Amino acid sequence: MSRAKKRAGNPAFTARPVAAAAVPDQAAPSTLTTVQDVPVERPVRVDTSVFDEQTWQRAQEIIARYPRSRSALLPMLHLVQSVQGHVSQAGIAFCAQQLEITTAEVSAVVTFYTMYKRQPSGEHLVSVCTNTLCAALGGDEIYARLRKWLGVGHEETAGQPGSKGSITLEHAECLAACDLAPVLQVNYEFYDNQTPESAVELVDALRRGDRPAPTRGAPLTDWRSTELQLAGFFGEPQQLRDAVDAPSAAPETLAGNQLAQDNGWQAPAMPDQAPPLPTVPEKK
Amino acid sequence: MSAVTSSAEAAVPERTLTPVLTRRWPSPKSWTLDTYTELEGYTALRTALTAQPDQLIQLLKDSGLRGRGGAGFPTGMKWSFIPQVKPGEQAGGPAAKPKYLVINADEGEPGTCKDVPLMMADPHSLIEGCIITSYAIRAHQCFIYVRGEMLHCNRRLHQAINEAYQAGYLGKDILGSGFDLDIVIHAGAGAYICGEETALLDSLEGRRGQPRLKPPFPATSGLYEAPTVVNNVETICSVPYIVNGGADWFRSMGTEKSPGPKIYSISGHVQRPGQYEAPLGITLRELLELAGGMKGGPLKFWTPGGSSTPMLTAQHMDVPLDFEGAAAAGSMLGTTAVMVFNTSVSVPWAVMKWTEFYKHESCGKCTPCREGTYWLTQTLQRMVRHEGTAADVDTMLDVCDNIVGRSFCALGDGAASPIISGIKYFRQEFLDLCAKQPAYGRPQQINPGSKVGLAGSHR
Repeated sequence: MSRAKKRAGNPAFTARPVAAAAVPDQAAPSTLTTVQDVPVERPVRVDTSVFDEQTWQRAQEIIARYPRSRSALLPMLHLVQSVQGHVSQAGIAFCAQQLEITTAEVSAVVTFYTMYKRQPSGEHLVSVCTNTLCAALGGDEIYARLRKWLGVGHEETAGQPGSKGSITLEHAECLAACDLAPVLQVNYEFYDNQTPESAVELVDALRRGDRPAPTRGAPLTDWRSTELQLAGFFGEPQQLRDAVDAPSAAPETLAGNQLAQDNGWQAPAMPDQAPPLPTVPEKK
Repeated sequence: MSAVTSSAEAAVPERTLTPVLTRRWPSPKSWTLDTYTELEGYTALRTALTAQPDQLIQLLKDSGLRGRGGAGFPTGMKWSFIPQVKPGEQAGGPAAKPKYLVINADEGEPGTCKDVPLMMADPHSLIEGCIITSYAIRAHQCFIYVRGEMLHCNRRLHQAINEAYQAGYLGKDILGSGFDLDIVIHAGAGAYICGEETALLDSLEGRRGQPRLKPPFPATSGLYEAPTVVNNVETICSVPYIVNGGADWFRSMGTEKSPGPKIYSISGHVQRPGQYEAPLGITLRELLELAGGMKGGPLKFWTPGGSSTPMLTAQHMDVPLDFEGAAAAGSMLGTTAVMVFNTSVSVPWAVMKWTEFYKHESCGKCTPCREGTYWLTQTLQRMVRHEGTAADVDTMLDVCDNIVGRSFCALGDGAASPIISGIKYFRQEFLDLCAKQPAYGRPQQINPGSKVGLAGSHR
């Protein structure tokens, strides 16, 4: 079924005439969709058929969250990555179509943000913090060891991208877990207080198909599933509830609390009743 | 203060911890609505909704709360800048537009790790703060811009918002007050610059996260060119407590100009790194005592609030860590991300790592920052490779001089901070690094006699 027919059959899209398939091109097979955002732009023929009806629905749901549709672009790019494992030309065309902006405008955004990968990525994304503090406590060594162990560099994939056990490695900037340094993330779930040895063990387990539990975060899935969550789709309510209840507090997180409790330290007591709110000066 | 004060034991610091924002963290399932409501959650909202919005703005002004995202701008004043239609007047100009509340949850300043645990452990306090703030500024739409990599926060917030909608704290006619509010969680995509408020707004509008020229300020022309308040997570989480406790209670902690409790995140070479909530004005000496002291060697340098705040040294251990105290010491309070480094760490190396970070995160919009961070990185890398010259030190200061105050946003100033302060306190270490070239694999020249391996000395 052609994309135009699919859209026509779907009430969600009937109100949004997209110039798309209107450009005639005899040579183009019927599965190809043409994007034409503004009349002056040369039509770009890109096959967006990889994005199924559900993805179209989700894209429309994202748009509906915002007063202006373009705000949906960042989450929509996460959605695109959840389908393809990276942002491809098709992904760019898909977003441009959905938001009625040019592919150039989408590309400009894709190339700005670190989390959008422009090469097919592994089943898992391993991000090692190598910012100063983590690095001083061993983050540089962890990254160096993993690079050697996996035989890859920054944003390169060990194994066939997308296949079971494939791992994309990257060095990350500060991951906001400095009290638990050195840290790394797998699919944006935290593995705290790492060593080169524990990191090697972790990636070996991932390559075997195991999914060791993160220190903080939900049970591991794969990178594409987490990208779907970043687009705002968390699955069934029970699925979300289980993921939400996964651990988050390390002893370090509660260090101050524990010390206060041990010593009986408290903040000054609040009044029993909330004090009356101040009166507002008369407006002139 | 009701807190237990120091006894004769030397180990007990004079100033104690005051868990307010962190108080619920150890409770079982602290992130659920059930736990939150059991522990006075959503009581402040009920009080707030009976008030006039302007009363809440006045309360925040009286409390003296200052923004917790780094700049320390008075929160109540920020809210009061939002143009409102005055009674009896015809709506026009920015006042007639919808207002927005945007929460900056894009925590990424190196060293900073307070908002992430706060959102993970107590997401409802942020949501309650958002509702009260939105009511005060008369916004009906709020966005929480959460850093993309912080997936578990995103998840917890998402679930908390679901619970809040079900309980009638969000949506139409909240608790029968007639006030409507929707909150949307928006995941970022990995760009430190989006922590800058106008870059964040551009990012939220679906663009590259590049800062905007100010004025106009977000208060009159922010998200979708409409009046917008952008506040940090910790700032907004403080709001329900101020409503419940009152301005005087809030001011019973901290100092005259920097009142209230603050989450200090201590990391690095300390025995017990972690989150310590104390009144503003605590010193590093006190914090180190609380955190069990140094690890692996004596203190060499530290930052009071992230890498963009100029580094300090052992001579600054008694500087009160509030906005005024940090500034008087030649630094900034920033995000109270206290990164502590012992003598095993080379200052030029640490500065190089931070500069690499700023270079990577520079958005490229303005020349001083884009080019400056690039060349500073080249120079520092060369120096750490033992190929620098003494003249490089002055060259770097010269480059910094062309960045500070000449960049489009504060990222440029932040990028220059570690270099200027590093050279200010450790100039000799930079010079020593250059002195004996060509030299390779001689980390000892940085720190003569040290038996401790130098982190990242690239030997």
